[in-house]
Amino acid sequence: MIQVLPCWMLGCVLFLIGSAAALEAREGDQGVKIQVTTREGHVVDAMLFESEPDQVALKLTGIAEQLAVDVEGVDELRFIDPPKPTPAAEGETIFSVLLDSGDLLTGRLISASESAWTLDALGIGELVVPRDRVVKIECISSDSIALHGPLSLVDWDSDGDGAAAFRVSKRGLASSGPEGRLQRKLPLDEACRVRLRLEWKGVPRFRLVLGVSRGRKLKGSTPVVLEPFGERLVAWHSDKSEISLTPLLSGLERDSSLELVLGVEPEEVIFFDAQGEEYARIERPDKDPGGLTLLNDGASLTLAELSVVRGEVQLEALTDSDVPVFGPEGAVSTDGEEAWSLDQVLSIAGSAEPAPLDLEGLELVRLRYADGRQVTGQFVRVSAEGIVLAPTWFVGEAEPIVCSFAGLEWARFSARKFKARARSSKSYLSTKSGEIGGQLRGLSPDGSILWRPNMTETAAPVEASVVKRIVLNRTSAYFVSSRRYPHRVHFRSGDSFCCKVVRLQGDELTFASPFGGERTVPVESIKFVECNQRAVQRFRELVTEKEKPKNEFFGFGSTTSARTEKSEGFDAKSLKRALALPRKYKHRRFEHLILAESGDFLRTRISGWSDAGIEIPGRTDEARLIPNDRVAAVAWLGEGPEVGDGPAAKTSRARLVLDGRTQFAVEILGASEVGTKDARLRVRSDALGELEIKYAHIISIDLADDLLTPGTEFDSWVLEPMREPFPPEASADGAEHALLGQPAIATQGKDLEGKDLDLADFRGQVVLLDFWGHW
Amino acid sequence: MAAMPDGRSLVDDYKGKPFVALGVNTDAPSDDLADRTKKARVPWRSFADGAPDGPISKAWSVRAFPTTFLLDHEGVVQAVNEHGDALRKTIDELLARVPSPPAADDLPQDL
Repeated sequence: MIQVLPCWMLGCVLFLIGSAAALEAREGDQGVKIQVTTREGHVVDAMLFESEPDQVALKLTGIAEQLAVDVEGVDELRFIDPPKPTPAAEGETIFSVLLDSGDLLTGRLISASESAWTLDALGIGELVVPRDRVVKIECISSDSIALHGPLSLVDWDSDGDGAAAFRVSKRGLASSGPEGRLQRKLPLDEACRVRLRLEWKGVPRFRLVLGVSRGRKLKGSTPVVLEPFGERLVAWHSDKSEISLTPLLSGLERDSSLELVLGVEPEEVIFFDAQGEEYARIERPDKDPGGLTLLNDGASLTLAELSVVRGEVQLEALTDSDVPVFGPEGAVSTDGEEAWSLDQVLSIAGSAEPAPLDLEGLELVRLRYADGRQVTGQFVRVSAEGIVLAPTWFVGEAEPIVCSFAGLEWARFSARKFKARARSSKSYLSTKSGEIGGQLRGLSPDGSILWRPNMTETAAPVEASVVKRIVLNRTSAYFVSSRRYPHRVHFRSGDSFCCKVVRLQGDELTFASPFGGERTVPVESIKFVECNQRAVQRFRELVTEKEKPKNEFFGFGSTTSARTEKSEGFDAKSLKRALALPRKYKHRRFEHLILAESGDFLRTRISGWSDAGIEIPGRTDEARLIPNDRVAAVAWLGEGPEVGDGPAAKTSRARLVLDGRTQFAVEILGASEVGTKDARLRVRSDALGELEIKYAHIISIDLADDLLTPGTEFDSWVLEPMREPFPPEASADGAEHALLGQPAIATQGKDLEGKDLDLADFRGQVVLLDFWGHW
Repeated sequence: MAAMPDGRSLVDDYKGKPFVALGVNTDAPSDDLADRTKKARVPWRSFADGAPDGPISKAWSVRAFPTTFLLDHEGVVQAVNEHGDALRKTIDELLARVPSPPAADDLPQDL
């Protein structure tokens, strides 16, 4: 049976939400302020603009041009200070519609047909939602409060003299529940307190909605409203057994009447007076809706159909029973003679089993609003008003909807694809407002940077002033071999180069570096030379283990007996001090401090340095040779130029960090062989002069001034050794093999099927080479 | 057959990782060698060295069989004749050091 009632709430005001925000976004073409997270995981500030389909138009901070970004490259857009959504008008009945995609829409329900709801959705506008996608519709109108916990008894007491008419009626809920009606005049004035205590069993949760009787106005035009929707309810309290609506009736005029409808499933409802005596009991149902409605959504009841036509509500019971019911999901049914206007409906259940969504291959975007609304759909484009998408529930069938920016919290793109791309991306630009993954396309002496963000195909100039660092090879595949270049020269300016010391002659040290060939530098500029990574590692272990490093030694290796233990308390700290603040000896201008892997150190004067080792004068005249692999470092004692006082800090524009923990301040001169594999950066270093550095060796280029201050390298070296070293743990028989630690022997040939096979082809992978035979 | 005992499971276990097992076969060349190898389910491609003192074995100074070398991604010998868990441990450690392969657009074509 269908009954039609006029609906007070419908057909009046239309939402205008979204349009105000859209205007703001359009003004001056300022874009919307966002924070972009790209697929590689870089986060950068940007402005969002109107875009072409399947693209996002972004202006990244630091890049003047507007970029058309494929949504494939974007992971998330987070909105910073989005325009505020227009709040719903007071007293308006809003529904929240939960869809099986997880989407949550709110808005006014306009109409309902057998297959779809029409919703005037907040931030979107009129929207048709297929009914089989709806999980739940809930009334979140300004008259509803959710209560938790069972209630018990109904207890009215009032302390005033005025008389008021109370009609308590119960909206039928269960087919068997007692239903009743009470009408009695009670004194009621401003001091009146109403305590409502309800008792029933088997009901875990309630929803309390306060309405008012007939015409939505109390006598004397005083609407009764409940917090948080009005000021009348100053305090209310609820515990397991009681809801106290203390000031609820204050302000009511004498003789005014208040109608309360209890839409619950009580075993019984009894009203007590102030003396605790029963004066009323619910006896039979009241057919008149409206008023204070307590609706049970915990009892199990039958699904019902509710259809809404503009301004009218039709309810059709699906049960055989004549008693109207509310189901656990908020389903509504009625005996067919009853109908409610929409403002009485708390929740409506949707279809129990929606058809599964086929989202494969779609570039989806999910929008989340700050108030909990959520929309998912296939991304179409960004318009001036908002984000245009085809909602998942209507893919390919309906016009795309425009989701307003107002109140938007974030937009996330599905990460189903392009994971491989995220992994392979290495180079990025670190700016003051985030990171931009991409490719360096150019770097000129005036500091201008040409950068191609991964999200786009075009390169764009970047304002150098916002760039902190250019990271080119976070995991370089081109590590400098630590065998060919075992040393690190640390200059007093803070620069450090990986190299191999060729010779030390007088006041000049000659070394071969992968970055610039053989160079000779004056020893005044050198602070120390790290030698032999394993020795450094061993030394570091000693220091960190807080083993006492030995004192000055007079020999290496087996000559431990020659060591003298001069001072007992020589700890890592004082050792550091000894290294960092070397003494100046009176009779020799530059002496050396040799640090052994054992933790011993020796002040001496190196007379020669070759592949065989470091030559020092013995106590007699004959020279002694210290094997290279026993030396952790060689430091120069004495006073060189002040640390940090070198010209590097003043003129350089950048600091290069290269393979092998080489890093030095440079002035960028330009680039050569651009666009080839041999692309090189031309720089001028204070320590080594002009150099050409292969792009592949560069790990990063720091551009910020504050990074150019040299200084603490030595200290950090003591605490933090070079990267690597990796001591392979060979088994007993393999440990001493001559090839261990050596480059593999070039091996080419044919395989058993006669195809060419070259060991070098497998470079970049770990290779297990097994010599075997069938015999 | 003189070959690494647990080669097959090793190859299976490191499938999909930047790890490759190669062999140097030291059998005399014969027509059915490839077939025999297939039958024996040798899990790796092998250089054909022709004899136990073939050129490759000589270059690597291999005199005992099986002998295995483990090379890291830079082509440096990091372990010789390691087996079982010790070998797997070393492989794991070496794999941890392998930089992810540079994508085509990350190669130094820029600048």
